[in-house]
Amino acid sequence: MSSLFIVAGNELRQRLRDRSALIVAFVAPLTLTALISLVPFESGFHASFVVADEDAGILSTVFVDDVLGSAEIREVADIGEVDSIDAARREVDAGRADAAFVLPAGFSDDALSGAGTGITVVVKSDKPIAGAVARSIGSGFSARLDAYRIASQAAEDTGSAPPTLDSAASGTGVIDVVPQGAGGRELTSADYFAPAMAIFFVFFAVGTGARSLLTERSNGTLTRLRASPLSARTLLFGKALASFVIGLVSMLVVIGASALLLGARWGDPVAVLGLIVAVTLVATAITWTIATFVTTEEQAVAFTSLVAVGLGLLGGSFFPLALAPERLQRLASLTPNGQALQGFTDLSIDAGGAALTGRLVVLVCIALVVGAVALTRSHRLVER
Amino acid sequence: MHADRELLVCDGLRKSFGARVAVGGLSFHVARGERYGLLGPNGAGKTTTISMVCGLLRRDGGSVTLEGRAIDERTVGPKALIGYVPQEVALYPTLTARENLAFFGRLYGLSGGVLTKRIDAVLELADLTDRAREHVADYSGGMQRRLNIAAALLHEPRLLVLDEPTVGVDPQSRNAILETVRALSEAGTSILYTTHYMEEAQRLCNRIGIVDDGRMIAEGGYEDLVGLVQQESHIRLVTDVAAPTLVGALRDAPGVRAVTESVDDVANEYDVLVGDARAMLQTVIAAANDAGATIAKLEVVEPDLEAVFLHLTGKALRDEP
Repeated sequence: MSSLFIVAGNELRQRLRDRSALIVAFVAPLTLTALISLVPFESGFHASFVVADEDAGILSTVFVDDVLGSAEIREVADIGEVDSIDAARREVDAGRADAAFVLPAGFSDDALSGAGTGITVVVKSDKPIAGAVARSIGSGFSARLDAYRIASQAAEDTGSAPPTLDSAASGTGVIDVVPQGAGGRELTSADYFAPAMAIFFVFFAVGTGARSLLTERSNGTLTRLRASPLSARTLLFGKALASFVIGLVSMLVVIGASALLLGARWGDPVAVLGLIVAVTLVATAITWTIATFVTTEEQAVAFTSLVAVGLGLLGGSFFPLALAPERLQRLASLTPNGQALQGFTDLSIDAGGAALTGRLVVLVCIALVVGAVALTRSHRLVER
Repeated sequence: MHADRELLVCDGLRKSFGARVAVGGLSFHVARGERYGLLGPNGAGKTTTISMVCGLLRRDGGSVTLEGRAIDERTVGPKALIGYVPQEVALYPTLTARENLAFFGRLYGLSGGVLTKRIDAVLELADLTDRAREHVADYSGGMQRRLNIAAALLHEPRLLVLDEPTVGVDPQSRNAILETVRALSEAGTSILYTTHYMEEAQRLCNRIGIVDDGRMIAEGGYEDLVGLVQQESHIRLVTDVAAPTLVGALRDAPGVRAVTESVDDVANEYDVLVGDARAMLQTVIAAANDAGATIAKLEVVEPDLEAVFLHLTGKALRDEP
């Protein structure tokens, strides 16, 4: 056991002397977190809409004044008014508006009588998010109109008081572009990107340890180690332990610094520590597995970068997953980055406690499976 | 072979890499306190052999025992009896000499005051005490070589295995290394030393095994080996200008067994193989005169390990001069 710690200690001492490793493990994640956090998370989305009310009826007025004029919509969009559908199209085509709503003549009467009608939404192809938000606002209003009609019919049938038109305008929850958990606390940029960057860079931090055996081989020290009374397994576990410690410290430093300097909130420290340990184990297992498949340090660096960036992209390290298509969000949950990041953000907004155990189990299972692959192939690192 | 005197016994070592046989049934032993040299050209199988001795390489056949304990690539404990000096410098460049030695010492179970004393001792032996706190990356090549050896001596091994430790080393450091090895041997450490420099084997080793193509082709003390070619001496003759008939005249002279000619822009050199060189000098001089050649240099080449190797294999020990 003591030999294991001697190997790990020597590895840590060398990593501390390696400035590039320190930059990757500590400086880069903090710097990137700070830079990304400069963009306020809450105002990450803002659009410009125009509306052409060709109807000027009771319902179209409700839509223009109460829906588009609501504080929630005004917070994320500027609303302008035009006279006709042609004028609306010109505004969108010219790029002066991201999308346009057109309420055709007779809209209110047709809607109230149950005849077929609808709000036309003109969108710009290069503004997909703004288009999606506009469509959601339009379809949300239509759905509430349907509900209003059904409620009115029911009131008429039962002789009770009919609902007011205001109820058709209430609620615009379709534009939740800012991730918001069940805990009710809003996520800030630092809350999201601090763990995102910590997870992304932990792959590089632990990767230096995995590559060290390749380095030892190229500088000849591996031969000297193998000539010593040290088993191959002790050597491997000693190196892996050092990798794990570097990853753990890297994440802890990012957590501490982002909390102190950027105001990031991390939530329950015990749960956070559990996630850190789990995700560091996964990163250690993955980078060690990569090292068993390559023959040079350069190859190890290239493949580790490829895997880290790939998992980072899929797992939401570079953009909020809430803005991603649903398919990508589902894919993210299959990656260790996605699981860990969702866990961290849930903890940050005091939510997802029940789901955390599941995420930890998933992460530990990934670490065990990938770690088993690394272990069965690890003799190649020492003997070849 | 006296079992109680033998420290290392290698029997029938075999190792192939694909179709290429690197070591084909090599056997030798190293007695306690002995300096044993494995001499052979590059690619003869010396490094492969000591890699099997140190448990670094899985062998295809044969056995290695050290103090009666078997050694293979899975061995752990008995490796503590060996001090291995790799051919290339094997140290951590970002650590200081003292940090390197502390790490390797701990791997062999040294700690505390004992470790400190041993580090001080080997630094003294390597003449690096004053530079002990400098990073190895800042050392000269010779200093790195000396520290490379010092790292193998920390745990006072019974057997010190050195794999061509003087390759690429300046003459001063080379001398220092050879003297250090000799001093260690005199203090009781057994030595297994590989080299392709015959002068080193001749100067340092009590017994020499000459290997070629993974096979032991001769073994014994220096005198024993040279005795193999005692009846074959060489006379080296250098002339100022080429004498076309000289080679024929020398070959026809009684007592001359072979003549090798080497002619270039600078000199005309002839290597004359004879039985007793000193007795044949007059004959060679007369042949040169008869051929009209002016002798610039004439010398008797005493038999050495190079001659032994040439005699046994028909090829030179070294590629370079």
